[in-house]
Amino acid sequence: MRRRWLVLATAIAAGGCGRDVATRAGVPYDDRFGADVMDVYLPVDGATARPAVMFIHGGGWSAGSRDHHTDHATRLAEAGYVTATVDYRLVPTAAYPAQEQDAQCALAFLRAHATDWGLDPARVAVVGYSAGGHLVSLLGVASDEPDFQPDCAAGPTPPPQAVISGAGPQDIRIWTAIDSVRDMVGGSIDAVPERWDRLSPITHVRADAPPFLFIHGSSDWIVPVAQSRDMRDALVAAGVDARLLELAGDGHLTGVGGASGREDLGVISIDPPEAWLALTDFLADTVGTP
Amino acid sequence: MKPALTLALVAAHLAALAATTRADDGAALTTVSLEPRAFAAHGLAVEAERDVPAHRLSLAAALAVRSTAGGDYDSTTLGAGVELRYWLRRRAVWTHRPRGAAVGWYLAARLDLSRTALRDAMDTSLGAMTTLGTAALVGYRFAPWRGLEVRPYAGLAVRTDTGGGLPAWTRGSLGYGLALGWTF
Repeated sequence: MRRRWLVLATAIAAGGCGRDVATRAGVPYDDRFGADVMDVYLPVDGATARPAVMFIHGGGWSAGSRDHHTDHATRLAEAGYVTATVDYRLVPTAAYPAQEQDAQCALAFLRAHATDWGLDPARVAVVGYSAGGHLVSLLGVASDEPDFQPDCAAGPTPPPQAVISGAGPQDIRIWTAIDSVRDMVGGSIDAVPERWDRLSPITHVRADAPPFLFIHGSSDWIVPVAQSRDMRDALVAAGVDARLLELAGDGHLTGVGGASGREDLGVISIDPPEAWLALTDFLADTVGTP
Repeated sequence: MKPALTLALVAAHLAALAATTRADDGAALTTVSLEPRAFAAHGLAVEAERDVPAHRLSLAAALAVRSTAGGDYDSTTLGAGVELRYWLRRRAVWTHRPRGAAVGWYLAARLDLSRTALRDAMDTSLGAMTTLGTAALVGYRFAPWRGLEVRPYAGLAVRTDTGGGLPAWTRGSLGYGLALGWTF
């Protein structure tokens, strides 16, 4: 028991006990658009063919940056995964289908640099939160949708081997009155109904989709937890390995504090220990451990 | 729910103890409180606070249990915390307490330690993480009726997770809460 406390105290004092990580910051994955850059985190351990995890940020498709996931990417890189955080073109500068095309292009670019960065292109997971959770879900079920095919140099790419969607919209047709969603789609549901369908991951559910993990707070009033529940149920019905971690009391940008019952602002559903434990177990089952 | 029942019994015991401890001048010294927000996380957080009027301080000890994970998972978090409060003026609006009682504005430093274990739908253990939390808080205690306390608070919190096969991870947040309790 004393030894366990000593290990804990040492780990906390050291701020972590993972591998050293080298960072490639601001790597352009599509030279045509200034916004299309990624940060890549490489474990410095000489290993090759490591599993990789790519993070896509949220922000209602109109805000946010790859910096949202710097801590998450660094932590997994210290654990031995090659990780990347991605920026993409935002609304209103770019609308349908730019965001999903960029997500596909970033995934293709990461795989195209497998040798350079020591990753296995057949073991790549994607993680997204909120709008990022929507984009990674589309990567999982709609990568062959003609409208979403990237025309960047890295070219089209198969779906990722695993998808982790945190509080992600799975059926955007419930937000027809929200301006930012209409701007992302590029028109109202009356004007371009096919786009609203196409941008709803739940309409693309298929038996050959990769495994999914959904992480969602039950008190999320921005993206209701029913979005993840329904998508999980649809995938399971199609025979796909799909799991849901529902966090009681968590909101979209708030979490219930550890031992105190306090509510913490700025804590998202992929932050708590429960989420990390589910995430690492899911990664081990799908893309393997480093 | 066994841990929650245990915690409820501990809370009742603390309350009974508190009822027997009063200062020589009859001023209430012990407060037992709950965090209603913890119920939303399928948890229970109980705190017992002892006033030390001579030093304008009070010391609180907290126990918490919650089972936050649902869907295809289940979890148990057990936690304990201590908080040292410095009472600035010991006066508060909407309060009926003897002069010098632990009411009004306070500053606090808090330390929490908790352990979270996750299981999947087959009840297979998926590991556990330990979280060390520290917080600097400011709060205000009202005592609007008899022994009732209403105590909103807010502040900055820092947490470090270890375990689960991952490197330690430290993050900060802005926290707020509301405690409801009874002073004996």
